[in-house]
Amino acid sequence: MSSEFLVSLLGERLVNSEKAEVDVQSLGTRVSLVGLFFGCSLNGPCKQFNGSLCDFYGRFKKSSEHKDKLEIVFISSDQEQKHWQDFVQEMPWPALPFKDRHKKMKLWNKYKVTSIPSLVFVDAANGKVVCRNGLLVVRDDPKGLEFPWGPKPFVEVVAGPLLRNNRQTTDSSSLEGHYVGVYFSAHWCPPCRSLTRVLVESYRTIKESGHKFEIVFVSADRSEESFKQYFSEMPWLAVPYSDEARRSRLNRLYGIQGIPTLILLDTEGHVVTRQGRVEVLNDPECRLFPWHPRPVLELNESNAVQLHEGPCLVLFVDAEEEGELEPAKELIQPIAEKLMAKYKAKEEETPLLFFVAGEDDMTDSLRDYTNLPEAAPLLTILDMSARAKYVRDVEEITPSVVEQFVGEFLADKLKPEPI
Amino acid sequence: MAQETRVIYHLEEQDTPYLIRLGVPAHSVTLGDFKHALNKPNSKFYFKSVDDDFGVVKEEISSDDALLPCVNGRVVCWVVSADSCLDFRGSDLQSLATPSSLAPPPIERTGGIGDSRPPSFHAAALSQDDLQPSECRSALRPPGELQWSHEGERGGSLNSHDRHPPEQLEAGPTGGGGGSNRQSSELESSSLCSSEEDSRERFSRSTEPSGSSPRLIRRHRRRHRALRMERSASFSSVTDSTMSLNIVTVTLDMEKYNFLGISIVGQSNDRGDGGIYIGSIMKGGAVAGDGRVEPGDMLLQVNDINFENMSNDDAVRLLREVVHQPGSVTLTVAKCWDPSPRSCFTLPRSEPVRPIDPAAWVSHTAAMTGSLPPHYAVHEETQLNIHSDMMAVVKAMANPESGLEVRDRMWLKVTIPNAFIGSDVVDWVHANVDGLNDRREARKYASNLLKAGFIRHTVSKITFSEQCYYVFGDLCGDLAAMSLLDHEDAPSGGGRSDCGPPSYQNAVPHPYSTPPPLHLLLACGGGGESQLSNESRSSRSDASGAQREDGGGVNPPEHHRRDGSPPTAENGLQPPPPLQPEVLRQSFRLAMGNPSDLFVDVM
Repeated sequence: MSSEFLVSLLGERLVNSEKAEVDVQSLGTRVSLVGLFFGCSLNGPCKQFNGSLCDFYGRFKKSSEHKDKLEIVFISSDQEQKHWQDFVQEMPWPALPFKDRHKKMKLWNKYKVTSIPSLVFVDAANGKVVCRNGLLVVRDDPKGLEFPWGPKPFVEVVAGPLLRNNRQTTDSSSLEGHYVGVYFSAHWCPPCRSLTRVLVESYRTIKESGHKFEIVFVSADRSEESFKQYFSEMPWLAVPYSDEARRSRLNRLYGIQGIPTLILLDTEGHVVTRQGRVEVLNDPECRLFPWHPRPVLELNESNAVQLHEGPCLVLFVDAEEEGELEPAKELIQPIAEKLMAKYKAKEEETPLLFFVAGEDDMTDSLRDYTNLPEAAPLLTILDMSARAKYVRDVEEITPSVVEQFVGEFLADKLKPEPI
Repeated sequence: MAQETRVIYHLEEQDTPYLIRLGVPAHSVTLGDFKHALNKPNSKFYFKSVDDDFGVVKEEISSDDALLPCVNGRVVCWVVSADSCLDFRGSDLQSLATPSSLAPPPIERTGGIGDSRPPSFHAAALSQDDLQPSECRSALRPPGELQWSHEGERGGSLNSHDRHPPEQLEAGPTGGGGGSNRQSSELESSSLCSSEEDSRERFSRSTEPSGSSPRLIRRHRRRHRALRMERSASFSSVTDSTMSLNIVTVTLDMEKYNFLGISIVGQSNDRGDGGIYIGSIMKGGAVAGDGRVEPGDMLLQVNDINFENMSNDDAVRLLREVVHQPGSVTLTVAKCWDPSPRSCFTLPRSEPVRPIDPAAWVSHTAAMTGSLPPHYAVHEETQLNIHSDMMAVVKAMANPESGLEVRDRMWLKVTIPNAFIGSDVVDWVHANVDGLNDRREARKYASNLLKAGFIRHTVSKITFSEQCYYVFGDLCGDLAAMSLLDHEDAPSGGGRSDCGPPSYQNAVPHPYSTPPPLHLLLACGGGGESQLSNESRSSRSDASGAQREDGGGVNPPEHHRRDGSPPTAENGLQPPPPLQPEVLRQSFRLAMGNPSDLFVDVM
């Protein structure tokens, strides 16, 4: 029973380096954690990582008390069987059969893989992501002591002294009862510097309005010197640069892949929004602090980045007079709210973001790019990272139409069109 | 230019227009000439024209003998296939209005969404009098100005319920609620208002505001594609992008390869430099050979020089210096996520910035001059001749392997980096450019290079001398050339919006004129660098008013020609082609994708 999910994801059989078959069903019952290793034989960093992973795996399987609870499965991006074969040969764990490589796409989408090599640890029973950044795990926990590398409470991960740029230190316990912005940033990164300038203002605004708010800077700078230089611009706290382990764990906790990222936590340490950057940029007066996610957004240049983070329902309207945007929003808002509530109850991320898009240059160019039919209003789901689009081109767009569309999408019943 | 007409034309709904030259003078060019050259049967042609009352309009011309309207010295055309519906009263009506068996539907739309349906949509089905005025209004719009009018919304009459013919109630829906299961094609033509009416009257949907079930009605959409700037510019702005945390260091063996083979693109805005990135990678270069660095990667460090606190210009200059030194080159880059440069261009992404899209760049230059940009040409190694673009010649000359001796020179106790002697230029040009029959012609050619700004004298003398030292100029040479039209002798560079190389420790001042609005200073960077282009947001906005199509005066950067010299190389002083700045601006923006200052350098 508990293997159903795994089977649906990986198929019935995997193969291993000895060309023997591995039964997924039984695998699912044996292990609690599966590490999905996404890679390609032709890619240098993948080959390199494979080496490290082999060492890690070897040590884990030998000495860890949890040695039987973990399995790694290789999901290849190779297009040539020979390459695939040669690579798999070097691996002590099973791999998705070459003939099943089309399944890779689905896995990429599901786990939002953006680059290779990638290692995602998922719960074997339900496929939920336990740890997104397996690469960091292999690097930072070579003995595998922190199995299963799952999310820990923020307060635990951040525990320790925090700096201010006036050299004062304060303990992380001082963050209690505060809203916290965890700010992943670096000096070498130009968009980071831009954001910092804005964030400094917003920080002041929020504090002045009486909120208990603090920002903790987690640096991705390449040297202590850079860190110091950058931190001198910041009025908030930072994890000491020398505490590489803590920085890395925070990074891993939130699955950070790009910077700048600003994660907003509530007073309990739960994530309010990962879109801190977009929110801060869009709301310079911080009126909407703490920026709880809104069920439906009006697509604009700054929030359009979210289109790339996962599937989004976008309802395009002809809104030159802004007469259609509001009603469109009202139409889909209840559906969005319902979905959000449903997934929140499951403690899962909402699988679909909701946007309404009016008529402007950006939207036009989006429609161009995704090659959408020239109709308005137009109901679509765009999954940019999967390069897929789903269009419900109907005469009438009603709440039921939308609900049905959403339902079918989530049940995987829709056929994607390529972008 | 009198012997030919330049026609800018838009195909279908593509943003970047095309340029075609017709060998007929502008005052006598006809539609037939254009059609013949274009060879696109089954098309309709709309030409930019000026109407006394309405200003700029798109005039449909269908007679082959008709003269083409020339606005500001050029002809602008929109070419549309005859099948697509370009006018209001087009076939789209038919497609939406289904079975004629139904009674003509009322037009008014209640409940908010879709109120702005163009009255003409209803025209086929309806003949209600008070629609007439709105119809007329829409008809007044110039053809091709593809905007739906929203009179419907403004006119209160359309929203009223009075004229709801009672019989519609019967024709209404049988189905329930939200009506997604309304079958019907019946409903389609009855503009669904009736159904809304019905739902309001039959089923109380308490959740809906104002009692009508919210629904959006589909209709054909017209894309109003006036000359609009491609807005990809805003997408790759520094504020919106994200950098990957994946940092890679590669060490390249420069023994094996002669050149790095990368083009560098930089971003900067009024808040400071936005970093330098790999614009594109050329085959055969060291970077291509290694394979780990890809277009879009951001350069963080070369050897032990960290770019973090450096201006883009300095960074590029340093990179160039390192490359010219012997020994291996170690590059540290922050990877971008999607290796294919094409895909993430037009949308904001959480991946790092990709300021240049090579493909769009190509079409930009095509828009400018109709030919391939030189840095592609150079690597094709076509034989240079006097008809080659000067830019290509200079690029070939600037290639470290070209044979031209370029090195630091002492002159008047001052070191001029990367300089060469005039006589060497003459020799090189004589040897490498076909069609220069004797040294005198070669000398003339070299002199033209100087006049055009591709090479530059240290004190900006404009007369070529074989005894003098020169350095490679840059494309702002066009501007220099233009100002030369006004001033015979540029006194120590004054009046010339030139970019003196700041790296010169020259005793001789390089007075810049008032800081050029084009931020060419930024682009020009170190001396002796052949930079391919630069663009500046502020200048664009400054120049937006100035539509100087003629050659005089200082023109906006759009007139930078990448390979822009006219066919005859002898005459290096041609005024820049009077291309419509909008067109160039638009396509350039498309190519550069960034409103901030940019420069491109090739190594």
